[in-house]
Amino acid sequence: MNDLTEYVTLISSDDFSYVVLRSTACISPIIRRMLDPSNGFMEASTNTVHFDNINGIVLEKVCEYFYYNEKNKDAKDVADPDFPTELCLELLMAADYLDV
Amino acid sequence: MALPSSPPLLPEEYDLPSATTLLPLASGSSVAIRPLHRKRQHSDYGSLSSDPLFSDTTEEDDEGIDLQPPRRKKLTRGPWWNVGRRSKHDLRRSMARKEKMRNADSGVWMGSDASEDSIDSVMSSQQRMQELVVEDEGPADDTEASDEEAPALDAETYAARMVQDCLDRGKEVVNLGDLALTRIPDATLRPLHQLIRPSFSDLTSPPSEDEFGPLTPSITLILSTNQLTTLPTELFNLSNITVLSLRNNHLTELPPAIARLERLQELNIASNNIRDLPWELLSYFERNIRINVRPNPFYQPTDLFAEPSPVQAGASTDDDGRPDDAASAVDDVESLRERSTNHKGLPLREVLETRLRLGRLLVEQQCQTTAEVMKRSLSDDSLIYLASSAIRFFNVDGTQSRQTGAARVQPKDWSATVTPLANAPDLSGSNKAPSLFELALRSIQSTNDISEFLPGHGSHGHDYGLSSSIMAALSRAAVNTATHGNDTCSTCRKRYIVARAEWLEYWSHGSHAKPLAPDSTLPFLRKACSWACAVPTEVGTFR
Ligand SMILES: [Zn+2]
Repeated sequence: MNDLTEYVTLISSDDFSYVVLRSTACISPIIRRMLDPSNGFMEASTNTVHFDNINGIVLEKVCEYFYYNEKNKDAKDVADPDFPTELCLELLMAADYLDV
Repeated sequence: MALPSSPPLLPEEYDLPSATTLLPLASGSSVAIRPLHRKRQHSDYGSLSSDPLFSDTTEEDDEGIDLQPPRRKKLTRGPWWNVGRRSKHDLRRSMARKEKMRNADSGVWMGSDASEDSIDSVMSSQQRMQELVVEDEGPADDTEASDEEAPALDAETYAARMVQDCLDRGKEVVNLGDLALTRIPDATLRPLHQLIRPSFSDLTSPPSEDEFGPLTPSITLILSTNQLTTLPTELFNLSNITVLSLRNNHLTELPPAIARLERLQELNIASNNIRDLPWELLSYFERNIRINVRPNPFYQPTDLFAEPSPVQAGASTDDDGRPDDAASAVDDVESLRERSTNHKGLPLREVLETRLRLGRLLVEQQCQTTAEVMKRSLSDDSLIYLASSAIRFFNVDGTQSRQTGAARVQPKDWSATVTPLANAPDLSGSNKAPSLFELALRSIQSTNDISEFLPGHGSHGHDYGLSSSIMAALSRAAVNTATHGNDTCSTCRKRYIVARAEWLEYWSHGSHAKPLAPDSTLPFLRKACSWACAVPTEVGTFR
């Protein structure tokens, strides 16, 4: 647990990178596993995760969701965020992959 | 509660096929006594479909009307005086109906262990067919040749006709029982939204006061003794249903939407293949609605449930210094609560019995502080939480989560456990916020035409390379839109498309005098919108 950074970097298939709070990104079991040093993935040492299957526009929405989730942990009756219609299917697939 | 405008209930055996021969139609019957033998007519779908729609119902031809093959006959109208007599007949029936309304509580309900129905087998389909015929034969009509052979009606068409007939007459008892229906289209039931109470304007006598009551009907919908495996969506939109019988069908589940019938007073789901009840139905039990649920092959908390209590068998393994006193002594809330929750080493059966005693004690305590009126209903009809099954967790896409521990929950293992969360996945960090998957799915549900993504509908289908779990979620969303809308989380009441957890809860519902038994234990299926909502009811809860 020596050098777990507060922030981690997520990089899309088209090389957009997003820096997000580690705690928010780790609601994804996939990301959590890759960033867990005890699992020995390279991602853990660089604090960076590459996604070959998620493009920048979608990954941006994913990161927005991380913060939405953090913010609405206990909140009730929060309105659903608006996603651009054309992104929804890709978001659905990304969410399925990340299990978030 | 409205009742069929026909004579009192007959014992079940009169509805058996042999009844036809045992109880032949009276001959030369007059209209006035028709109701008396109508009820004895045997309901036979075969003869129903071959019965001429426009049969002759004048008195001289009444004899043996349901036993004859279809006749080609001119439709003759009854003599003019029949008109008057028919109205009298109607009057008598409507008076009988009012009489019944006054006694709505007597004889309507039958015990829950018999599969008898309180409200059907009142009129067979055959007699109802006759009624239809009578109606078709309006007094104002001219004599009208009907040389064509009446077309054989299939069950669905006939049902639709019955509904229309009820609508035309403002009849609140819609009896579609015993028609061999395998399904009921939404369109068949939809007209019932237009049903209003009859105005009695065709009567010669002035209407009595209560006939000026509200026009809102109290619909009795009888669908019993058919072969229904599913229920039409429209059924759950008919908010004026007060009595619903689904007895003796092939239903395997009830949709949660069943609880939307806010005016329901009586529900019969006996004699189906239902293994568990939707959580939403709990509210009906709380509202003291008459519910007849047995027999059905309900899940039981444990295989050993039907065997003698281990307490009585002396097999108690109490290790808390109070050996074998479970049945009698220390019935104070604290010790019961202690043994209900701190159950180390206790056999499940004993834990359930302890919890039941705890619940009853709490109910009785509450009774002492409640008004007299409430007391009886509380102790007679209280629901006491017993135990949960292991909770099954699902990933965001609805696939079953990999759970820790060797004993992964088997798909249909719903037996009760004292540790429902024992095999839960890592729940740290889970919260009640909807998943991104759920949010994206809802977004698609609200804006897109989902069917575009589903095979067999749109052109694309597999072009998107969608996984089977995504396809399943999409079709789930589409089905929800087309039917009852999205489900409600049993914990936080929020709407969701993909359930993240489900479990069965066993509640005791029965007299406080009775011991724990299969026939007083009801299984309710709970679902939750998030892992954080996957929390079973607390021990000691009663309703
Ligand atoms: Zn919830």
